[in-house]
Amino acid sequence: MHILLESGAVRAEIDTVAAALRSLTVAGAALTEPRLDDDLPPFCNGIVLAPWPNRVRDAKWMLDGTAQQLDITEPDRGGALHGLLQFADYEVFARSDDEVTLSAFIAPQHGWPFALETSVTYALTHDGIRVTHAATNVSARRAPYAVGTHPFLRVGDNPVEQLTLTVPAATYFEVDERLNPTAESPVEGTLSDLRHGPVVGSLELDTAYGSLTHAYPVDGRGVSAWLEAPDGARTTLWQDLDWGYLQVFTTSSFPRPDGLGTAVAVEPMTAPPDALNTGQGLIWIEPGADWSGSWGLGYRGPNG
Amino acid sequence: MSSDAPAPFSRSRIVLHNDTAQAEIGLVAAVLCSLTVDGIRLTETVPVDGLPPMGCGIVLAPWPNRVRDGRWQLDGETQQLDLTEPALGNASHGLLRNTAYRVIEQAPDAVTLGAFIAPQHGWPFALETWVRYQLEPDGLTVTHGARNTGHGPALWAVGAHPYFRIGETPVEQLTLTLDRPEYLELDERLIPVRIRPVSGTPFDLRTPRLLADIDVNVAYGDSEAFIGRSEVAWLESSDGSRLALWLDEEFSWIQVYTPASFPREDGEGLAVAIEPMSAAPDALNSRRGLSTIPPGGEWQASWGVRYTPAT
Repeated sequence: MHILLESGAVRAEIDTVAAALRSLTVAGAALTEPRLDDDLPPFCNGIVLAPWPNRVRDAKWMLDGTAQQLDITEPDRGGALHGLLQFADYEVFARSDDEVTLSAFIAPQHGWPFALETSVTYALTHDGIRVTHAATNVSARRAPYAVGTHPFLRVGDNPVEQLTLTVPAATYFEVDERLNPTAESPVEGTLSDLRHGPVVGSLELDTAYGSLTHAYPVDGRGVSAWLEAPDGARTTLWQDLDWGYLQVFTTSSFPRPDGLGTAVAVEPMTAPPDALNTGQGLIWIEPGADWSGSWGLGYRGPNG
Repeated sequence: MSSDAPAPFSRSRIVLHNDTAQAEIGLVAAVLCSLTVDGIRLTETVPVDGLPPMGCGIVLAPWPNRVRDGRWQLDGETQQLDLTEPALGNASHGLLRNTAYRVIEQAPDAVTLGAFIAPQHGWPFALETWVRYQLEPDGLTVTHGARNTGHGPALWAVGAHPYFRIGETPVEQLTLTLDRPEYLELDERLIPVRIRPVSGTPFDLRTPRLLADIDVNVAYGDSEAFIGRSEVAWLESSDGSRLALWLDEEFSWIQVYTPASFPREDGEGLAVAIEPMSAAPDALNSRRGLSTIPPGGEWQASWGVRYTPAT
């Protein structure tokens, strides 16, 4: 089901499947790649990744000394990718003209012996959207949790390859041939360094970043990435200060009505890839306790 | 009125009752947690604080049983499903076994639960599916339905995974009869390789056999058509009490599974699953029993159980 949110010049469309952001515009300028149909979203465009973003190596992890085997959702690489809700049809929990809360239950299952009630709230702001993720542990044992999302960003109609992408992150995660992380290393002197705004057309990345320096921190959040067009128009991603990671993914074969083209996903995450094994960034929620956190997008036109 | 009970593993449970029968339904996998008539247990019980043991009571949609390697072909294109049985490398029991269904309609003695199947890895179809549990004076009627909400024809199959019993009689002391002349021979990964007559094999259940002597995990089908609604399997206790399983003809396949180590509160023991299925194991590859629903079209069919006490 699609849900349309509108407030002033801001408009968003939400899908109940995977609680996905289908489209987001400010005064007609697109902040994200719009979804065009109800098929499986290309490259996971817009979906929510919970209770873990990115992959779990071999779909295996250890919990208190017991081996856990998740379903293999990426058979060619043998991993468990993007959590347990990427095809879930969320329920509409609450809704107004400019805000909707969707909820989904994560049932105990193969490799995941926890029950969680989760929700995603999309709330329009004056220049974009605020997205709040929440989880309540309804199990009798403490549960690990991480969350991310998979938006592809744009700045209106500007060709994506001409945009510059800035990410104030000091480290990136090196990966093996199956894209499992092997080390967290400084970006300094590497092609993965996005601190000085390279042009998207020059990038070839499927890379997780850490050691984020959230720019312009205020009210517990800060800017974690921005895309800028040649005319100065800008789409800005912000994250709560405790959302310490993001993934950047570029492709030159993103499907659009006029053919395949360059696109860039900038994915806010609370934990890096394979966090169930490394423990890095994992949130542990006690029985009966809950957690919530936010990220969002904003737009500024060429004239400020 | 029906009452909802908290149950983290099922999200919540719905209690149905009429004058004689009672059932408990959990939202996750639309699981049948228990069924009694006159206080006699007719199914194995799904504990409140655990996963359904060995698939006990869950709904299997949009395919029951396994898809070999999670791979199948659609119009010449390879479809790769998620591997939900990593040890054997298969995709098992459909896409809804971890899904919390929604309550669509509820009465004291009936509930309809719904779940949407979105297009996903290896499954390019959109289906609104539902399950209705209706208590009867002597048992339960279960109706499965699906509506194709996509633009093209959608494939569809459904099954259920109930384990039956008669009260507190140890399962090994019951007899099982199954009126089906053919079975599907399986390979070591439990994938069917050919249809064979049951005659002269250990899989022949056409005359009553003591469950203590039965060790099977196979699908049964038919060479002749079974038309309309008919009884197909019977459990019987030595005191003459009896449980009959009936099926609509759409449920043309039946899996019988007799694990010796079914976990119960008082320890492990023999149990018997008799699983109505609208298609055979690996049907996405063999097409045996697979339904095609046109865009906007609907499918529905029922199965159920009746209990007859000792006379």
